[in-house]
Amino acid sequence: MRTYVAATVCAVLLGVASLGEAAQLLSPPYAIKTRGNNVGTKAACVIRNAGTAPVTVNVSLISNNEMTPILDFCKSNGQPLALAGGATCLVSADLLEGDIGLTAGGGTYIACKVTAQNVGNLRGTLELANSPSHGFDVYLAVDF
Amino acid sequence: MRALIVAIACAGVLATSGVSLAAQISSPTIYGTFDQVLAECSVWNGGTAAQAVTVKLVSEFGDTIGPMTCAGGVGANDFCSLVTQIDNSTAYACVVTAGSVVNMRAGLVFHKHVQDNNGILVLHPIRFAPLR
Repeated sequence: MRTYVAATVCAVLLGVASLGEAAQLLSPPYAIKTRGNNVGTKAACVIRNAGTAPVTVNVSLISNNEMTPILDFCKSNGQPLALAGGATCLVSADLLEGDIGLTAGGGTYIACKVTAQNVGNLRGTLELANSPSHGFDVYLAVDF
Repeated sequence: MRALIVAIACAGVLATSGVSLAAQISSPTIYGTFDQVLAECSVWNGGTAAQAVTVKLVSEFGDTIGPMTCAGGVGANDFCSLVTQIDNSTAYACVVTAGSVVNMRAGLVFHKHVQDNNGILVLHPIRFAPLR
């Protein structure tokens, strides 16, 4: 009997330990560089649900400097969106200009973070484009 | 006795699940173009716990640039990068070492110089590779 109790307690503890927090899908970071005279960078985090069941996603651009939000189609009425199977949503923002010169580093970084109960069917891309631009001319894209 | 064995095994599994040894992520060895002048390997801690992080570049010939230790560690949602001038005819890889790399993401990018419309040299990316 005591063996059963110990085994049951163990199973419960291991189960709880493995529950953890919601899963994360994280992009690699990119350190923004100045693109040119009066040319900045805007970033977009584009997430697709490649599965068939809806997934509630919390999508955000992460930077060490201020950003000016442009669009957020990954929220519905201010709440995380239940992204339907096959659907795509996008979060974008204007970024501060990066450093210039051969020693440039440690300026503005950007990355994309997605949290959801299960990220197995989520696919992301972090797209960077000139700002201002005609449309959204991507100069670097990072898939994750 | 069996209950004791089960309890000890359980405690062992729970204890080791929290242990994290130094781990690393690495990029492939990449080459951009003859115009490549600058490499930057950026690291982002997407987790909730600060990590001690080192970053280094390794050339295709085995030469090492760094390692550089990120001062004060890399906190949650914080970034760090190794920036260095590179040879224009050599390929490089980036290696990041941390206590845990589960929530650590990093990317190696090569830049070239471009003159903007005011004649000022700016850096444009020509090649990017994620670390894993």
